[in-house]
Amino acid sequence: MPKDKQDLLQGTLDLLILRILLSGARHGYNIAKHIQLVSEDVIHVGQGSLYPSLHRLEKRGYIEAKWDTSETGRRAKFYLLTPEGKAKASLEENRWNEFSAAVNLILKNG
Amino acid sequence: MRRLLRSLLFQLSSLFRNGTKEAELDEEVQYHVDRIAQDFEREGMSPDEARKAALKEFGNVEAIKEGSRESWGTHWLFSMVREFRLGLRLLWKSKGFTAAVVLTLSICIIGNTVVFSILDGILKPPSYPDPDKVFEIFNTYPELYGSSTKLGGAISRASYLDYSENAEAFESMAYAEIRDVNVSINDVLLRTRGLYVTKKFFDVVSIAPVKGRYFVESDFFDNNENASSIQYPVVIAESFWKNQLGGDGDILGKTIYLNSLPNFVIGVAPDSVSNHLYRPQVFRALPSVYRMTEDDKMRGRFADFGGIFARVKAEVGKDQAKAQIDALDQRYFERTYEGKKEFIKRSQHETKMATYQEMSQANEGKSLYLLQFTVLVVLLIGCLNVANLLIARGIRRGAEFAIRNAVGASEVEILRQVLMECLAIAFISCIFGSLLVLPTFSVVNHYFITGFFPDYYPDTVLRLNKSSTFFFIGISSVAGILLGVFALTSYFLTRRKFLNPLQEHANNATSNKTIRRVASILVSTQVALSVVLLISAGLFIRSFFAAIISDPGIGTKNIYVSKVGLTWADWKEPERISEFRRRLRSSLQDTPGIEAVAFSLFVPVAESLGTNGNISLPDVPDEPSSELIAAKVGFVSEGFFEMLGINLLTGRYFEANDANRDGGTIVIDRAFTEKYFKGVNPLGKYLGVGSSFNVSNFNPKTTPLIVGVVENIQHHGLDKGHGAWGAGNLPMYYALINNSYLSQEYTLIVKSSWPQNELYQLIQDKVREIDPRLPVYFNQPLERAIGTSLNQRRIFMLLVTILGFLALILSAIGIYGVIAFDVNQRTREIGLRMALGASRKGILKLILQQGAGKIALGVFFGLIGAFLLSERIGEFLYEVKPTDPLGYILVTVFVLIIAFFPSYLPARRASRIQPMDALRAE
Repeated sequence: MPKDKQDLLQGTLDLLILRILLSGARHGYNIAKHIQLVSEDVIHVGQGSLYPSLHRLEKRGYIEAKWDTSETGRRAKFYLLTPEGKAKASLEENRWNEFSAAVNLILKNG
Repeated sequence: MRRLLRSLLFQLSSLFRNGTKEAELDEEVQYHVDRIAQDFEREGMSPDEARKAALKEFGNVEAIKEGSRESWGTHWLFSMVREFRLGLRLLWKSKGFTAAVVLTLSICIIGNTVVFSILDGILKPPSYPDPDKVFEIFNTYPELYGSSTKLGGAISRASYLDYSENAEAFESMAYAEIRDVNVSINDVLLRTRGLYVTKKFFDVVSIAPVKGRYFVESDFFDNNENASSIQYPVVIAESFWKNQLGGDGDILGKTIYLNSLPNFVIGVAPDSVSNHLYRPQVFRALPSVYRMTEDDKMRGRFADFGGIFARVKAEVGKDQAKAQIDALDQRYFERTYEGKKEFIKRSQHETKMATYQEMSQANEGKSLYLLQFTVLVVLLIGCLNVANLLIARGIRRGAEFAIRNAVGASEVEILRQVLMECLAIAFISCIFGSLLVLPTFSVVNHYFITGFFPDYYPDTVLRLNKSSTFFFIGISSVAGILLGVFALTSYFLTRRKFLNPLQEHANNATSNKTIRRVASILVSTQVALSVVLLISAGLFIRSFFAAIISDPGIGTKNIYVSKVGLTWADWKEPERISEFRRRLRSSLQDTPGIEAVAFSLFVPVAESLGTNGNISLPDVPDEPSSELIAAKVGFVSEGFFEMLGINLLTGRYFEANDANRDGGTIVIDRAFTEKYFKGVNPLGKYLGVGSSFNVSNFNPKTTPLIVGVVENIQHHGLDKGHGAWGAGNLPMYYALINNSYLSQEYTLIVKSSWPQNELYQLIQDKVREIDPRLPVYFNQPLERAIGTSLNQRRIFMLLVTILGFLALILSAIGIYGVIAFDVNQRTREIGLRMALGASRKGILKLILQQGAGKIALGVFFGLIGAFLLSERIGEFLYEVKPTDPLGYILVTVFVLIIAFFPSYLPARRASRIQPMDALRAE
């Protein structure tokens, strides 16, 4: 199994989820849709990665789940950031910025 | 730290809320799918199409769920449950294997639990407070009766009075005598065991009554205890109260007749009081002890009729208490008569004391430990066997493991699966075993405990309590762990084979060799252990049959015994008692088909006899001390010897008019003549009885006269001459049941060709004609009564034999498994040998030789083991030496023959291998 690639993706996906939840509680479908929309259809999150990622973040205590009524009137599971999750989101964002800046430097000057 | 805690809580909650979590996951996924479907519908698809497309878009629902579970961290639990189920399913598929393994393990587990529970029940201290402070004090005479490792025994009233008045180490001390009595209360009439006790008896025990009270000082009337005018207080045992009286709530104050004398009930004692004390059903005060004069105390010192029970003060040790007893014995020695001094010196008398735990350790412990050792060996054999089967099975499954490994299962997962299978085996065995525990307990209680430990309440010896439950669970876990260890060992030994069976065979040569070596060590060990058990079993069997066929000294054909309990109140006058015997005897003898009738005060051979240590032989001058003479004494009626075919050596048997001689007549046995008369003709000599008998100045008219010498008979059971279950044989003399000797219980011996049940009815009817209230009991053929004396030996022999054969069967299965596996593994090699010209006979020989090698090695070590063990079991044997070569040879031959078949079957299969098939199979 190509494990490294998956890990990288997962890490990125975690960052995206945390960042999106900064603006408020969302359910799984909404998160996937939002990523797709904001990235202008570039990033499609497969459900096969989304849910394990959500449950892992929940287990680690960065996000919490609660059941609530969704915009369609049905019961859905909403995820929201915990205080630790908020801290983690900004930390990961900084890291990503440093990382992508470094990558850009290499791409530009390498 | 907080994160760790949270994660732990999450795991825990998911463990307990698995159902909820699963349902939530379903709902979450369903919601997502539905929303995608809605999107598609909005784009113009039909609802049906949209749902299908949504599912397709969403992807593999199960895989996603699995991914989520994995991120919960609970997936290993799921897979373990799944593997456990898979293990169960696999076991179900190979039912033969599973049945063999489960049966093996559960039998071993139950066997161990039963023996442990008996050990626990017998060897645990009595349930008195501070049981290590409660002692039995008893006399021992090593030179007189032979030294014995057994503890416990009788002592005299005089010793009790001396110790209880003068030894300060004791908080309380009591003396008690056992007496069988006719008990009548409400509408119950039966003969049962009574314990007649002194004042402090229940203080020693220190367990509160179930109901009412115990004896107090004023209960011990200073009066003649047989006077019918006095009512004594009686305490009854809890089991008597519950079983016989239905737990009568108004029991206190009720009249209870002991031997037809009215007494009254003052209390109910819990069974825990009497469980270690011969299980009496009634307790009565024994005031007559306190009426002894100073002279009685001097003379009666070694008239051992009862037991002393004493509680040592909390701050006093056993040695200190013993030192006081010894000092009192020394003081007595200095004050007493010359004859007693001589007796004490020559008999090596010593007063001993032991707690109940020490006594049961010394008396019952040894045989129980031997039994526990035996069942543990069988458990070990069982586990070795299962391990062997697992190895063989593991090899067969090598390919399966390899494929799983190739498609991505990690080694850990494979290992987990193997362990789960072991767990499943242990689990099934435990469940199966737990179903059998209670039935086994009740069977053992019913058939074994009452025979083996007649002095204990069966239910108190073997019952399901905390420790037996713990032991059951513990030994099951041990079996499970052993299995797991064996399975892991076999896995690691064969790991290369598991991982590479797809590769060519050359690689496997070494691992194969290792497996085979391990397997053959296991087989040899099994065989060795079986040989040890079987040799022991053989010795026990031969001892038992030696005892069975040992000549009891009497004929038993057509002879039946019954007992009649006479009660002193109604049958007090000697004339009435002899009238009773005469009437019963003549009315029976007048019945057609009844050949002979006799009475005695004991069941010949089956029952132990009283010992009289106060005999003098005034006519034998070179006998150094009259006090030294001790002999068993049997009271019989005329006709006793003739009926039982006890040969007369010289003189004559008892005759009817012997009863008219004042001093009575005596018949002695051959052992008596040989030990005490040493060549002197005993006929016409006198035999003085009692401590007041004066050797130098006696009246021949009132002294018993020896009129005959008869052949020896066995006393106290067929095998009781010596050994761990023995009581020692002594010379014996017979006296007539005459008018002056009163007894409460007569043994009626009848020779008759009647069917036995009709005979017992006839006896009952004839007794009722004389007095309808007299109980007749014990009815059985004499042969069976004698056989009962071998109960301990019989049960022990049965158990060891069963276990020995179980071990052998298990070993045979093990041998088969290993050799069959061997042949299976070597199919290619055998095919090659055949292709190169080896004959079928040669192949057969090759395989058989290898099997024989393992077996021979096992037998060799087994013989050594048995030889080393022989010293330990010597004292349990009867007329067989523990190193008797016959047993060793027979067992060796037997094991070799039995072990031959399981190796022959696969060997024959090997010899039928078609070379081409074998090679093509590769």
